[in-house]
Amino acid sequence: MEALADGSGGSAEAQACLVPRSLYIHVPVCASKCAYCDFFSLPAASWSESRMAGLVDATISRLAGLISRFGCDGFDTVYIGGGTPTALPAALFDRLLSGVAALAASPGEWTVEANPESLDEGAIATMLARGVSRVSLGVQSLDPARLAILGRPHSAESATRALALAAGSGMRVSADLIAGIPWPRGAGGAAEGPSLAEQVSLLLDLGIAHLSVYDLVLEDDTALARAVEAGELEVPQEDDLAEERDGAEAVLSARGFRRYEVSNYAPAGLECAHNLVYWKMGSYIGSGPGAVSTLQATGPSPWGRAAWPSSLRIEEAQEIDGYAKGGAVESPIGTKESAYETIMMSFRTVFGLDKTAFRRRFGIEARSLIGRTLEAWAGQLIETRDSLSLDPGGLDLLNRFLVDCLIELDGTFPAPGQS
Amino acid sequence: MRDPSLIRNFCIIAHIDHGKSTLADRFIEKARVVDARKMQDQMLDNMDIERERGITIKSQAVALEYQAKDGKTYTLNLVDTPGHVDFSYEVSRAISSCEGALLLVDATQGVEAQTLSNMYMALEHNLEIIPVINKIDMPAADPDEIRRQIKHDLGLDPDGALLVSGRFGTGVDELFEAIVQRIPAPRESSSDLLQALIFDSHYDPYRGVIVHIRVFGGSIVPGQRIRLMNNDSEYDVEETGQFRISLFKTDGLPAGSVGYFIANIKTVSDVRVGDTVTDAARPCAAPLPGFREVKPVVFSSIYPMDAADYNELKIGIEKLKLNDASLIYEKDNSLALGFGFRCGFLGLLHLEVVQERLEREYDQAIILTAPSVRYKLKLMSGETVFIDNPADYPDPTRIDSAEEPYIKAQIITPLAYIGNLITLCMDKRGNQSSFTHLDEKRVELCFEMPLAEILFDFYDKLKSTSRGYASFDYDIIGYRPTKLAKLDVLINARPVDAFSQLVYEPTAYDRAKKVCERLSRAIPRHQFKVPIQAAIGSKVIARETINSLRKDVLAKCYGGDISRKRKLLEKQKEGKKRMKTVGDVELPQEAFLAVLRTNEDEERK
Repeated sequence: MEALADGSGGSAEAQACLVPRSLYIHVPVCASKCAYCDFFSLPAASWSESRMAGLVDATISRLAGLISRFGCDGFDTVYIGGGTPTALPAALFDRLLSGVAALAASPGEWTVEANPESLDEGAIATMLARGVSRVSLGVQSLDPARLAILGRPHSAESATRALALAAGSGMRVSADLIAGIPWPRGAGGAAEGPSLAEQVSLLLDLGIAHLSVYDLVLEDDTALARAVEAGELEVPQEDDLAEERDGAEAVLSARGFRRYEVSNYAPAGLECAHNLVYWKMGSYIGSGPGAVSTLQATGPSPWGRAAWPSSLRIEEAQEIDGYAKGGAVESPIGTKESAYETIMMSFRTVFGLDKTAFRRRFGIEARSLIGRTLEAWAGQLIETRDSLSLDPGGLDLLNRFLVDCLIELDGTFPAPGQS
Repeated sequence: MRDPSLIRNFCIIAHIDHGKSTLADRFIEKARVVDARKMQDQMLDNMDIERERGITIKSQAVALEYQAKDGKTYTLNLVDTPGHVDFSYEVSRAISSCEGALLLVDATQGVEAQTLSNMYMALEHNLEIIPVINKIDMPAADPDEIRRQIKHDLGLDPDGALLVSGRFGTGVDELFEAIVQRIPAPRESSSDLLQALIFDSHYDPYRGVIVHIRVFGGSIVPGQRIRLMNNDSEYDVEETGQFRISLFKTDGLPAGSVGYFIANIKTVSDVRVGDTVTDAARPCAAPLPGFREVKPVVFSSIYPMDAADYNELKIGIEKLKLNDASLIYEKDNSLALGFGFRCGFLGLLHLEVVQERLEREYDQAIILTAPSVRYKLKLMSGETVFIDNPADYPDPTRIDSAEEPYIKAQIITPLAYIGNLITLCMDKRGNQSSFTHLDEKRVELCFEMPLAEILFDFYDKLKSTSRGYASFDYDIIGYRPTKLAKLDVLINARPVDAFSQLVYEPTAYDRAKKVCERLSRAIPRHQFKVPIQAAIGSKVIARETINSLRKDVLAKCYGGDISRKRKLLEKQKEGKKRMKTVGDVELPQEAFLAVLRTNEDEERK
């Protein structure tokens, strides 16, 4: 099938894709670089105020460009992440939030990420004034020794103080924790400091409404990976990781928090609406260095020669001073990759894959593409009239399941032109 | 074509690491065979694996043009040779195409095992030997001591020895003159009928087989119709030439010269190293004496990782065989792995080299089974059989007695390490047969021990025990009685024949335990528990269990960065595709390596 238009006209694109109703802003600034982080961010101390102001303005103007290009008409969810948005100086933080508020009036859910060392009364007041409804706090650990290993710029006390402050503001509060943190070799590891389950319990007592527990991933060229390679730190074994997680989950489920995604827990109805858009493969736009947009075509691909259905992925330049000049990389995602991404993202949640939506979009039943894998995983699969999802044990083995899907898809996906 | 009196054919022979390839580099540099800017170390070692390991595996020839003091220009054909015992077959072929040899001795190490055995090989072929003392630039060089060893240990005239530094080029000009003056020109042939010995070959995808020859009689020219005497196949010569790193076209090759010819030979099996090439219309009366039969001593089966790649593997092995005449193979099959090849190797290093060359040069993903020696079994029926493949092991009740090959291991070492080396050899079921002081610093130890014991980590342990100073050589001395058992490995209750091995019965339990431990580390967790058992007959003698997988999930997702996540899974998919599925268990290539590299080398980690 040939492309309708050459893709240069904003309106043709806007008409041919699912109009984005979710918005992400990336703020690549932090108090300091954490030992495990390979994300694009720079320490705030190395920036001049005018340089940061330039970036905030460029991010807002880029956002305006994306909104007009894709014909956005209001947003359901807004998420300002980083980096650490609250690491911006107070005036710039307000400039960013008011800029976003002007372009995305009263979204249903507006989340801002914050770190304990920079979440103060002023920041809370700014958020409330601009309409922010949700704070996601990067706690990562409540154990001082582990915070030091992670190279976090805050203490356990400042984390609990910031949580109390956020919870008292009336905004919904989410916290992040990291599981599987490496420990000095031979130092007894898990036995020392509060366990993950005890930390979760503390957080729940402080009034959080949502929790993310990420397994630490050692990324190449990070200080933490080097310490592990040098043998100073030791990574926990698979069984220890599983037990740590089981302990935490027992506490969460007793308090009514359901594991609704691989690493996310919330009482029913309090899930993160913004992240659900990613997992359901909706359209969303992203502005700021390193942010990503994904647009889902609803008809013949307006993006180059890729067959329909397809997606467009826009990866924003990871540059500070040159960000205003553009340099985003746009890549059309073909039908097969798009189908695979849909499988990959939707099986992350307990809501699973929407069978009807899949059939409508790809013109083929999911079962026709990954039937053998579904058969092999039947024991860990939950099927309803409308959905396919993995049970908790299956979620823990999601990668294996997805690799099986990927291999099967190589053989079952109709070759281009056949469909 | 050059007058044979202006040709000199010579090789460099030496113990491993005594500096052959570096000296060859200086020759190439001085003779300006290549531009200075294209010069690199180990010019003749063009296989990746040679450069990485710093060793020579293949003999390589190069023609050097040299203007001597008498004003004439000579063609000096140099053949670089390997030093490791496994490749002495390569040395013997190189020697057959030469009239002289430079016997290189490291001025800091002295005469060693391969110095002696390579010299004997050269003497058998009546080569003129020029002793060369190398590495005289080293602070520890002791040329007087080496001269003494040359006279005492080798029985050569020490006054004729030349002093050189391959590293700096010192003495290389004098060495060129000595080659011209002391090594005889090729002998005049009594007949003008073409008679040329194939000493090597390699495959070029566009031109077919490139045949490396030494012409003994007559001459070979483009356009000539030639015959390969072993199977009477005939071809028209398209091109002849010399080796000058790259191929250098000439108008023909006269008697006495070393070079190559190309004749659009696409049937790889027509070309056999050791065969004689003659003129189809005017053939010579008889072929030249070929090379001694090589006897493989180590056996292992090679299977394609993906059974569908059997034909590709077959083509790869055929082409490798062209370039490695010592590789012996026949078709084999396994219940677990499908079709493959049972191969015979000259030693364990040879096996590793074949494995790496198949993977790198022929792009094959392969699995090797545990190496074995060839056992001799006397059956109750009175019949005697030889087996090297565990799959052929008869029912034990049919076996009357078993024998295994023994070697005489000769180790030359500085005095300081003899204690540890004796312990090592005793652990390997060795019996000391002699102990000789070579001089005040060095001794020669001789042990009689089973060949099977040196298959695994013996050489590495020898080197680490002696900090690299001990040298090792061996000869097969025949069969001795042994107690044999066949050890089978069951993965998830299913026997995997590729893991089976024949073992010395009194140590079977230890071996079984180690194999299970290693497999349990090498096989990834599955969604179910995977028991690993080692058994003799129906009796399980060792067992490990791999626990079921509990977690394999990427528990993070930043800001909608979906592409990155997809790429990670693509990578994991490629990893899974490289697994061999046996029953419902996926075995990575490392699992097969884990069985290959048995014994203590792992415990050091």
